[in-house]
Amino acid sequence: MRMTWLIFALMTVASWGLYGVLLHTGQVSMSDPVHGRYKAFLFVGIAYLLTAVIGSAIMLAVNGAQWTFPTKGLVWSTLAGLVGAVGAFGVLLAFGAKGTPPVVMSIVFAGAPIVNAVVATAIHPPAGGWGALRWQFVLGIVLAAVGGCLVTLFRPGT
Amino acid sequence: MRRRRLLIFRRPWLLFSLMKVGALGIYGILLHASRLAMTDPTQARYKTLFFAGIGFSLVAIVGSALILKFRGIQWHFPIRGIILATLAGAASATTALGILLAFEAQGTPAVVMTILFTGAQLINAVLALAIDTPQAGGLRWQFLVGFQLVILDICMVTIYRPM
Repeated sequence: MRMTWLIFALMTVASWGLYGVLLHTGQVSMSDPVHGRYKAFLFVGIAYLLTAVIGSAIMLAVNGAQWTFPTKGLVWSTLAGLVGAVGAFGVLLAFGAKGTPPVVMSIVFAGAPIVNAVVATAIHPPAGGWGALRWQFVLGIVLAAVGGCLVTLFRPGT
Repeated sequence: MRRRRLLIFRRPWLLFSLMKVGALGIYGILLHASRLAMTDPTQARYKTLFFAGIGFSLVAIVGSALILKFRGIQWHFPIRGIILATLAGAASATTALGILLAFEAQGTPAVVMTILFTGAQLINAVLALAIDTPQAGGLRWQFLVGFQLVILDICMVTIYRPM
């Protein structure tokens, strides 16, 4: 039971790995080169509504949870959803602007941990301040930029 | 600086990809903060997912519908497109739930996000290349080296992240 979190993490890996490919294929399958991205995004939103909003509401009702939501939690959660939607829209726009799925998603998955690390560090600075950052952390950011450039500049089809 | 800006303008897909990078980079942090702010040890994951779903749906459904309406397009959607786009949305919502469940099951954000970013990238690349296969020799060594570096970098940045 101590490794239950790993099962959930791997479940997330599978769903996240599938997401970009499904989104791109869905957009292409709309057979509308101009508005296909918006049509696909519309149904992504509907699925999100069904799964996240209605699914969660059912689970809360079944579990007999109190319908009280702290304002802070409500605001942060809604903000997370908005940020997620803006990100999903960015992927669609990138695909529509001739970015291929392997390259777009490689940049996304390479850049997101860097942003995540920087923002998390800014919110919760390490003991001793920014000077306490380990060299492996800084080197990782530098190497990430190099790797991201190589993937971007030498993508298939360029 | 001038050349860098020109590069982005010549490749708008890069700009849009970076938009996603920013959003995804703070997504996990926001979910984690939301879960803690709900102050409900048993139902916080569903409460967080509920409002995250409302936020996402507002942008995705209302935003897309308004754009489609404004542009006066025909409301015709191929079945295959509907199914795949809906599956993508379900995968995205499952991702959010998976992250919340992993945090709740004592997985630390550093470890969970390491597995998430590296594992998802591998699955995505394999699937995407299988669907959109380049011609023989189409993958240059620099691309492959960069790909390897990206995976290594993600691990280093996340594992050695200041606590």
